[in-house]
Amino acid sequence: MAKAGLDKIVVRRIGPQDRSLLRRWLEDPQIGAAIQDETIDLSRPQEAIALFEGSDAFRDGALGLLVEAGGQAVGLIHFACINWINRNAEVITFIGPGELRCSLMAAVLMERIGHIAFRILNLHKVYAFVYANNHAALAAFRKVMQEEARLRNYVRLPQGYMDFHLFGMLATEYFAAVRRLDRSGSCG
Amino acid sequence: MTVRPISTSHDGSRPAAECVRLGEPDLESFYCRFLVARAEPVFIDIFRPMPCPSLQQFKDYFAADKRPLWTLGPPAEARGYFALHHLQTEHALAHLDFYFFNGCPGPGSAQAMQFWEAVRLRLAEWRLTRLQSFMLASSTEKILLLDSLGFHSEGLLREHYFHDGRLHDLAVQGWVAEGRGG
Repeated sequence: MAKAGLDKIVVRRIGPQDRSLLRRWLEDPQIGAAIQDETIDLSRPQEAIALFEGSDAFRDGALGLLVEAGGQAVGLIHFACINWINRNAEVITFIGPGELRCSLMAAVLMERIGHIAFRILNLHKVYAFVYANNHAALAAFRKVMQEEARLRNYVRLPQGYMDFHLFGMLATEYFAAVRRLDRSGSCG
Repeated sequence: MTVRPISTSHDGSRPAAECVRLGEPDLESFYCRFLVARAEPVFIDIFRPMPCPSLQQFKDYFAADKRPLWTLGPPAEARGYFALHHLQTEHALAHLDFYFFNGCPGPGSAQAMQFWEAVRLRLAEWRLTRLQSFMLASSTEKILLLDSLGFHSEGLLREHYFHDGRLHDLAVQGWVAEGRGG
C-alpha cells in the first residue's frame, strides 16, 4: 500500500472535536443532496453527527469513520446496516473539502472502504446507493464497484422522479483490484 | 397519477380476494402459519437478518404502522400473506413481501389474479405508485408470477443474502404505476 501512497492516509473514529467540521460538511448542499436518505436526516444535523460519532458496529450495526490525508480531514466513511449474518454493509461516503473532490481522492476513499470492510471487519460485501443525478459519485463507483441494480423512478422530487442506483463490491473483487494496483505500481 | 384499484376480475365475475389486515388479536394465530414457511427465507430484508425468530419479535416487527401485513384468507388458516415493508409515503413506494403457504400460484391463475387485486387495492389505499421486491434469484416461480403482473427485473444483488449455509443472489423486481415518472 505504501507504493500507492495510501500509508499517509489515516482512518479513525469520529470524536467530539470533529463536530464543527462535520456540521460544516453536512451544510454543503452537494453533500446534503448526496447522502440524505431514510437513515440520515439532515434537517437534524446534530442527530446525524451523533449517529456518526456514537455508532457501534456490534451494538447497532453502524460505524462512522473520519479519513485524514497528511493530517487534514478529507472525508467520511459510514458503514450502515452492518449485517453480521449476510456479512455485508451499506456504505455512505463523501469527500468533505470541495477542492479535493477529484477522482484520485475518490479512489483513495474507495480503497479505504475496502480495507476496513474486508481486512478489518471481515465482511463479504459492501454496497452503496447513489442518486441518478449525482454524476460524480456514479462515475467514481462505476470504476471500482459493480452496478447491480437500478431502481426506476424511485425518488420523488419536486421536478419529478429519479432513479436510484445500487453498487456492490465483493471482498474477492477488492483483493483482486489491490493485487493489480500493487503489480502495476502505477501510483507509486 | 393514481393506482386504479381492481375490485373484481376483468369480466366482473370474480370477487376480490378475502384479505385481512393483520391486527394484534390475530398475530399469534398467524405466527403459527408463518412458522410453516420458515424453511424458505421469508421477509427478505437486504439490510437486516431475517427478523421474527420469536412471537414477541414478530409482534414487535409488525406492530408498527410502517409494516402492514395482510393475510390471504383468515389469519389462522391463511393461504398466504403479503406485506409492505419500508413504506416511504414521501416517495409513494414500498417493498412488497409475499408468500403462499401451499406453493406459488402460476401466472394468470385465479389465485394469482386475486392476489394482485388485493395488492392493488392496498396500493390505492396507501397511495403508492411503486413497489419493489427482493427475492432469492432461485425463486423462479415467484419471479415468474411478478413478471406476469407487470414487474420488471431491476437488477441482481450478488452474494447478498445468507441462507441455508451459503450466500445467495437476490433478484430485484420493480413495478411502477403507469404515469409515474412519465
